[in-house]
Amino acid sequence: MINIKNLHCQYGDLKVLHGIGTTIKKGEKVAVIGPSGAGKSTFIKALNYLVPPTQGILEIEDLKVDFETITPKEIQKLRRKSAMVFQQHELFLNKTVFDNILIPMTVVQNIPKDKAVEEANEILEKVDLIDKKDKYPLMLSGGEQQRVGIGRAIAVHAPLLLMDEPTSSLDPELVGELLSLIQLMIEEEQKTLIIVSHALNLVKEIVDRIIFLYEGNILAEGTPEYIFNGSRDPTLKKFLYSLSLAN
Amino acid sequence: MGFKFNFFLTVFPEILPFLKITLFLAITAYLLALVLAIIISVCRTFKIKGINKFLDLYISLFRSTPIVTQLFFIYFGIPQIIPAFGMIDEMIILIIVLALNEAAYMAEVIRGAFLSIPRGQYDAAKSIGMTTRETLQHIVIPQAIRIALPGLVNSIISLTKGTSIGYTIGVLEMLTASQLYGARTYRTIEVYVAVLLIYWAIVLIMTRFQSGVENRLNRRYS
Ligand SMILES: Nc1ncnc2c1ncn2[C@@H]1O[C@H](COP(=O)(O)OP(=O)(O)OP(=O)(O)O)[C@@H](O)[C@H]1O
Ligand SMILES: [Mg+2]
Repeated sequence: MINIKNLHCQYGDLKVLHGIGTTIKKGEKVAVIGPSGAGKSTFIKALNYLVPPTQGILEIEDLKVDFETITPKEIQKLRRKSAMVFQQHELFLNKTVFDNILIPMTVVQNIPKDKAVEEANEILEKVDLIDKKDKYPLMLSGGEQQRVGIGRAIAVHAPLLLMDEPTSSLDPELVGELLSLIQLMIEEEQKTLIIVSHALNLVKEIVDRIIFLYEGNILAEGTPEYIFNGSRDPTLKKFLYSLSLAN
Repeated sequence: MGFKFNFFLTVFPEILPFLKITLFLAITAYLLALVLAIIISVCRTFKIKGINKFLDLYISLFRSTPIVTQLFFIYFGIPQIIPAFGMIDEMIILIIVLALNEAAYMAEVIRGAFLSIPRGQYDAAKSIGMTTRETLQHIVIPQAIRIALPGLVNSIISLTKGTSIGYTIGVLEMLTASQLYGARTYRTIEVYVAVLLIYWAIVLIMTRFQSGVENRLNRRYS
């Protein structure tokens, strides 16, 4: 279970999140939507402290941190609770595909080398990149790089997966394929997912809940059915309308 | 007079032994400069107050004045105020000046390399749970070395040539040796052609090595 209470974030004087809270069940898949600048990336990056919140309480499984008093040790523990897939992949450029997937296991989790190698191979099979295992990230296409990104996130063995627009740098025809892969990988491992995405028509098929973020506040949340047809929030309706025009 | 080819051939056995000294000076100065440059770039990256002002001044001073002036200042100037300084071997003075000079450049090369590592690499490392030490060791330093390496190999080339200013304070390196040989034999053209050829050959070998290293690194990444 993940419990977020009164989450505040700011950059300098610019307040971006104004005390957000929600509870997410183990294994639940949640999409975060909202207009550009709403604070979606900030929200998702606050959960692994890539952006340090100024206030708030976060519970993930057995770990509870208060961002006003968080210690370096707690930050380290918090980061072990989640893995992230980035919009621009952010693979380790000096490591091969294989090592990108191996490194969370060998360096961070201290899994014995032979066991880690075996599992890295399994992950590479799943993301269908076993024949590219010795290549470096920049030798791969965008779609292939993102599959490595997903593989690396799986190798972290964390209960929570955070994805910030994992498909928006890809060609449109690859988006569905990648989302199916994400769905497959997380179903298998019962992971909790929080995904920011603009590919709403596809994402709504794989999530249980949608959170609508607007100017740093949650204006609406519920099942995809509720968000698309149930909610009467005028700002949400306007946002969905503008999105449908864009598609 | 003209160019005496037979005499020209006798120059090489005379001055080649001093190439050892030239290379010794260059390599020693290089290692010292490398250590200095790493310390300087760490201080500047972490913006350590006080030290930083001093380092800016040092870098500016050494990059904006002729190296011979720096050498004369330290070798001839300082002993007038601190006489004990005059006891130091000129070879050591030369190594120190060369190192101080090159370190100012190398520090900028190293700092630039670290600054050019994209923020996303740090974020990705943090996101998989790496500590700062692990991030530096496995991700940042290997990439920074790759970026800095061509510049750092450049420094050894420039130091190899730079050792020749040792002549001005009487360090017996290759240029001084050839100058002495020329004076002894009353021949100059053959001697200086020979010494030019030796410097040239050494630098060509180093440049080869440099592009070899660069190609290897580029092949590995993309
Ligand atoms: N590193 C930063 N420094 C200063 N301001 C920032 C920084 N990152 C984001 N912001 C600002 O914070 C606000 C929220 O940004 P955020 O990236 O969280 O939005 P977003 O919802 O992810 O938008 P998008 O859909 O465009 O990715 C924006 O006004 C943005 O300009
Ligand atoms: Mg964003």
